[in-house]
Amino acid sequence: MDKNRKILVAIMAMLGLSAILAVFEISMTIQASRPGVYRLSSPVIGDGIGVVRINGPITMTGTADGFMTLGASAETILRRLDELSKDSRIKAVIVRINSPGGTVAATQEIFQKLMAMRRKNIKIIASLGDIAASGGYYIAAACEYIIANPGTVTGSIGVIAVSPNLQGLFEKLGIKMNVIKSGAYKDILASYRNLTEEERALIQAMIDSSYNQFLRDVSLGRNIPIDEIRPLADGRVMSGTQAVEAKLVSETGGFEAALEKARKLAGLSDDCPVFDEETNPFERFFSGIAGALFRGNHLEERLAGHSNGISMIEYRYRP
Amino acid sequence: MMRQSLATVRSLKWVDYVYFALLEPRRLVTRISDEASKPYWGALLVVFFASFAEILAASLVTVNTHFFYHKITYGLLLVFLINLMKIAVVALLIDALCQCMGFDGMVKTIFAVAGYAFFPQMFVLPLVYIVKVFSFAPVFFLSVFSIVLGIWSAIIVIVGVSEIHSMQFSKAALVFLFPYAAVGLYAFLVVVLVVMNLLGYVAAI
Repeated sequence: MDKNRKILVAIMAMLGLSAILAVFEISMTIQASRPGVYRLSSPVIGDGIGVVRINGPITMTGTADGFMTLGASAETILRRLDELSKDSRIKAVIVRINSPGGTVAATQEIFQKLMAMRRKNIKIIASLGDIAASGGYYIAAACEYIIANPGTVTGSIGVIAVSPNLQGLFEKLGIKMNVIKSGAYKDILASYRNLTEEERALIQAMIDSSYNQFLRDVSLGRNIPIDEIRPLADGRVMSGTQAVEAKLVSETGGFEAALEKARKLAGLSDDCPVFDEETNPFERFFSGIAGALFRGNHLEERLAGHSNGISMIEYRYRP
Repeated sequence: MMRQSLATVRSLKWVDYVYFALLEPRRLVTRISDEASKPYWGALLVVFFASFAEILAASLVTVNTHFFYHKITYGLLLVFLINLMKIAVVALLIDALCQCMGFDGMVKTIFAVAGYAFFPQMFVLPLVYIVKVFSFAPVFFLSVFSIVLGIWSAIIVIVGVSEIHSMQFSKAALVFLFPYAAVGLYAFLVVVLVVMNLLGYVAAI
């Protein structure tokens, strides 16, 4: 009976804990969504501005749908954009970017969606945070107006493919791979051997193709001739101020400046509602833990990517 | 007095009521019947915490404003009083019917059993929390869990009534349903008569 009693006390403690967590979560949600965080004044009806946040490396499915959010999932962002474009109250959208870029296809899908929204006469404004480089800038280029902080790291127009060459290590450890393949290039970019010249040429052709798509889309989004962009599109990063001089960014300013611009472009009043994203407090909590655990571990991240067979051809700034 | 209360809490004997309520309702009845002073405080606490869990579970799956803070204070008292009234009415009506059927009056014991029977309803909170975290149709599952746990509570009361009066489970189930049927029929008749009177009043103007 004593054992049963202890089990029941544990169950009751669990019930108490879930009650405390529930009160905490609900309170956090109420605090996070209270009027006045982003709304300058109160009305929550009528036309307004939607906010989409793109944080971290961009991938198609990413980890954003999981419990520990580390990067931006294109699918989640596209769903959010779709929601906003279908909402007749949304007259302008601010895309808040804090990303070093990501995979080619994921970045392009977001770019295309933003361009489609522009064609629907929704005003799209990019607000660049700490970093909006490579794919992060690619997405910003789809926006009608780009506002960056003077110290934002942006630019890095280019494509990169990274593959570790572990042949020497494999030889040292005496590991040999048995590879049976249907074609000469089936294990291209394999980490257990050197890249051949032919393979290098193939990858380079892919990189060049993706690079040209990047230039074409930036030119289209920013309405600047490709020839003017090409000299800057050598992968260089620049500050927000330098980007304004290079016409890659419209003006310098923060999120508040972006809000003001969005209101002005869409003809909205100063007290129009701002519909920001709502995140689950649990998600925030666990993403904080994930961020603390995995931040800056680039080597592990890359090796993990390769071992999972993930394409490493990216629009991404990799310092 | 204080030392004695602490010793009672530490002995964990109070946990037996919860254990019996969840898994062995017949022993719960025996224990309550054996107690000289019926353990009403425990039953009231169970009803209180079940009401709290009910409010939190419902709040978790809905959009919340600052009204939530009213809900978990004044609202909690309201739900607690409603649940208490429900138990009192159910216990009184069951006992009245039992007495009409020739059994002894045991309203105090039925009241205590009905209070402890609320314990399974506390599980609605962690269950709803899990489906909410995974965004797996939380509103739908709140209803499902409430129904399932409500049935569990009902079974505890039915087994309790069956044990108190040594009657068959099926007969106890009918006795348990009686208060709901009686109150339902009563409310239905009142609504019909009010509507008929209102229609007559409107037609006469």
